[in-house]
Amino acid sequence: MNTPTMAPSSAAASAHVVRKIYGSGDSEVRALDGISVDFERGKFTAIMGPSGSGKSTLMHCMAGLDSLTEGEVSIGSTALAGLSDKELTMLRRKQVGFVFQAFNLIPTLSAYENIVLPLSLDGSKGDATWIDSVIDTIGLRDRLDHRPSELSGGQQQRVAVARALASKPAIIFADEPTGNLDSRTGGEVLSFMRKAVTELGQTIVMVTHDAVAASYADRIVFLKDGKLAGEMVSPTPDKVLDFLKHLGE
Amino acid sequence: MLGLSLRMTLARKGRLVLTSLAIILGTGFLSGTLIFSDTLNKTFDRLFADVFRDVDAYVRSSQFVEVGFGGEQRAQTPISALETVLAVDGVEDATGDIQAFARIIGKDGTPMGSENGPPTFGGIATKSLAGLWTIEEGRLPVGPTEMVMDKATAKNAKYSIGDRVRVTAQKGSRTFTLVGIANYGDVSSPGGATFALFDQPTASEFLLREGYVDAFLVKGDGTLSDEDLAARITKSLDPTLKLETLTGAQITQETQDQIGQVLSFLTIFLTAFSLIALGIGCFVIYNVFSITIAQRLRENALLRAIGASKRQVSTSMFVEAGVIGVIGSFLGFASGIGLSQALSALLNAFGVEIPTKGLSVSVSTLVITVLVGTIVTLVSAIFPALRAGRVPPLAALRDTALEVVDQRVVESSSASSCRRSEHSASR
Repeated sequence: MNTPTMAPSSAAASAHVVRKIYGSGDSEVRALDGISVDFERGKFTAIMGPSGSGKSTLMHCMAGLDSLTEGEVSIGSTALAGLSDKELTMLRRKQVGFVFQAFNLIPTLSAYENIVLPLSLDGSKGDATWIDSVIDTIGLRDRLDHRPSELSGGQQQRVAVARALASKPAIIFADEPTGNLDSRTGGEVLSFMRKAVTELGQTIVMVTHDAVAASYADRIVFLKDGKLAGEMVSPTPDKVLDFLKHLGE
Repeated sequence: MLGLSLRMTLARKGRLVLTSLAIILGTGFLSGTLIFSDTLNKTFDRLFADVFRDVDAYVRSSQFVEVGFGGEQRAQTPISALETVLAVDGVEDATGDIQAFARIIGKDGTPMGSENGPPTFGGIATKSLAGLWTIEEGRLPVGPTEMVMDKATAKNAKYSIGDRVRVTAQKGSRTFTLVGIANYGDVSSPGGATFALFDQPTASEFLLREGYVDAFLVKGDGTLSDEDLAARITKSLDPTLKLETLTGAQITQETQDQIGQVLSFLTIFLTAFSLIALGIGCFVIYNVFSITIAQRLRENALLRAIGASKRQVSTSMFVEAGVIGVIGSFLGFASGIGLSQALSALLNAFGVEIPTKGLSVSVSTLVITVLVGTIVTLVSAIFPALRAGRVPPLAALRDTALEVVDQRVVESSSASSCRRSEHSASR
């Protein structure tokens, strides 16, 4: 299978003492409060935590969608601080893949056009063999001409994951990718993401509050009140639920 | 990316048509008035070219006064000079011509034609080859009690040959016997004007001045060019009479120009109207695009999130505007053809007969309509398109977008409640 070409020593993405503060004075909200974390290359990492713990904010800041108040984030060897809007756009186009909870696809484009959209934006054809193998992995070859509205929710999310993979990005950020799916179709999408990491050598960071979803990951990072609250390697749903129970106390 | 924008635009066919509606209306008015003016101008050009078909030279007084609206009042020409013209070598025939005020009174005693409408004329009916009128029914008038009228007026007033007709002119009101019905060139009446026609002595005496006409219409025998003919006639005329000779082409051109000037008031008015319609269309188009962009906030934010630049998002909206502009303009052009037909029908209903032998639809009208329509659409879409590019990528995640809005609301409401509590505390 494809092996990652980048040096394995450095992380795919990392955050260094990051802070994100909304408002000031009495109404100050610290969404992120001094978090340092590395996301390993070629691994599937989940970010968990109760709502308001800052997990989505962390992901947005790491992906260059939102700006930090303090601290540093980097994708590969690129520090995001000080990048212009244009440079951030290019970074998102070439280095980052996205899977959102819903409304991932452009409704007027076919599944295939959605998959290669990041490449089309760049005016490139991409790696045809790679895109072929991604399409084979999601198993929707016979649906490529369909519009998103003609696909089921699970199929739409698989197309979204395929789109995130198409440009062979350094890292893929997934924000509750199975939040709108039932457990069976959610399982399909998660095993597909798992496959993308194990078999295609991709790096995925996923925000979720679902213990079962998180158990597909290699490692879980727990957040609480904008701070790092723990880590878990080789999780199972039971272990995760157990940890969350302690976290809530 | 251009291909993608086009596909995204064309995928929404229903909306495409709806958005085009404003453009269709605006450009429809524009092309409608353009086609209508073209048709009108061409019709009258053709009409006078037709009417002066057999006129090779035109003799009239060189003395005139301007009377406003591009019109002029010329001095009269003595009929005695006609003998001189007829004697010129190369002249086959010549006749006097009068175009003066005369009003035909209807059977119920009301005058034909309206005060502000097309003019009511009196003139000469002659068998001369150089005459403008051809008798369609009956015969030419002879003597002071006979007349002929144009076919359209006869039809409107329900006059038929043998009827007694009262006519009012400069010399008062008289009654004549209708002996014939005539056509002006190929049409029954040019532009809704009414015509009462008499033999030359009667016309001169009743309409103008005994022994005088407005001009001579001359037909050559074909041995000379019109220029040579005109030069020869001028030479033969007594210079103290102060007469001038025009060629057939010159008098045709002059009449066409005069009519064109009168028509231009109408066409300028209509064009201004269509430009106002387009201006209003601008606001509608601007609004439609603003709404479209608000509706597509998440889609554009998603594009931004996965790596589309501001410029690409704006361009994509701009391409959409361009496609809608072009399609709308073409549809507007098509509806303009219908509109111009409706305008002709409207004028016909008001009694102005536009002898439309088919509409005059020129390529330049199509080009102007499509260009103006597309440019207007693009200009109206500039600001909405730029705004579309400025959408933050984070808006693709609706919850976050709402959070941002909510925060502002919360902040402002808490600030006002603070102020309120301060206010009550101070009391």
